[in-house]
Amino acid sequence: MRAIAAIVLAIACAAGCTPDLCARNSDCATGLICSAAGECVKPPVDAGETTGDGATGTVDVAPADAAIDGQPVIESTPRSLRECCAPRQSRGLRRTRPRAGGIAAR
Amino acid sequence: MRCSALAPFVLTLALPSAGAADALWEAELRAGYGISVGGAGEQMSARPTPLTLEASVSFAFNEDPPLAGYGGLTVETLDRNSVGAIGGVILTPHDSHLRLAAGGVYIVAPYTLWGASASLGLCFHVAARNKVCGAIEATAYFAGNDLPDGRTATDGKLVLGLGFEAL
Repeated sequence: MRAIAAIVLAIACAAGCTPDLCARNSDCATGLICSAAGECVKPPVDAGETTGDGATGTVDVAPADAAIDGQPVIESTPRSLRECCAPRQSRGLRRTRPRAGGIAAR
Repeated sequence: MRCSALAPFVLTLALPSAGAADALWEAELRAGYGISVGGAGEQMSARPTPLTLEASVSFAFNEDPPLAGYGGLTVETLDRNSVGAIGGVILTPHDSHLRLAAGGVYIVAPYTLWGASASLGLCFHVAARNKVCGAIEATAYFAGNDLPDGRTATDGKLVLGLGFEAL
């Protein structure tokens, strides 16, 4: 048993003791990820997500999404809605028109 | 390290086992804990592994060499919680306490990890159908969303297990 303990100790000493470095994302506290350098860091902000200081990330729109059936898409329309309603959009049913009250139709 | 320190270990390997018949089916509960190493050079990390608890079932499928396949569940706990599956092959030479295993690990949730493991251990019968096993196990994780890009992690663990033979 002493021999096994000595082997484990030898492995630990050879590897060094760097408890601040991580090897897996789950080594880090909640909300942090392990970087390639082995440090726990905040994850990069996702596209479109508002950061804590109010800045907003850019939204990447693929060229194929820029227009459907030749019609420009409404920027505020979610992607899934755009795809499901593309034929209706080509018939002009999704264009914004001012109502009598001045509120754009949804 | 003095040679005399290794003498009992080597002697145990050389001694034959009691000669009990090999079981066809076997269930095993195992607990492992050790050191996890990741990265290289100045960026190498060394920290305690999570405590792993495993429940597996093995089935002997070959007599000579005596091979058994195993599969089961694994849980990581203590400083995190995850669940996954294990599977592989066990070699238990006839009339020996030795137990060699090689297999794979797949952590399923809440993150994913793919790894390969190998272990060297000894098993001793404490009752007619029960045995206690101890092993040194190395697991190399090479893929999964719990690993940063371009990094791998290797666990070295001491494993203690209880085996329950059937059939």
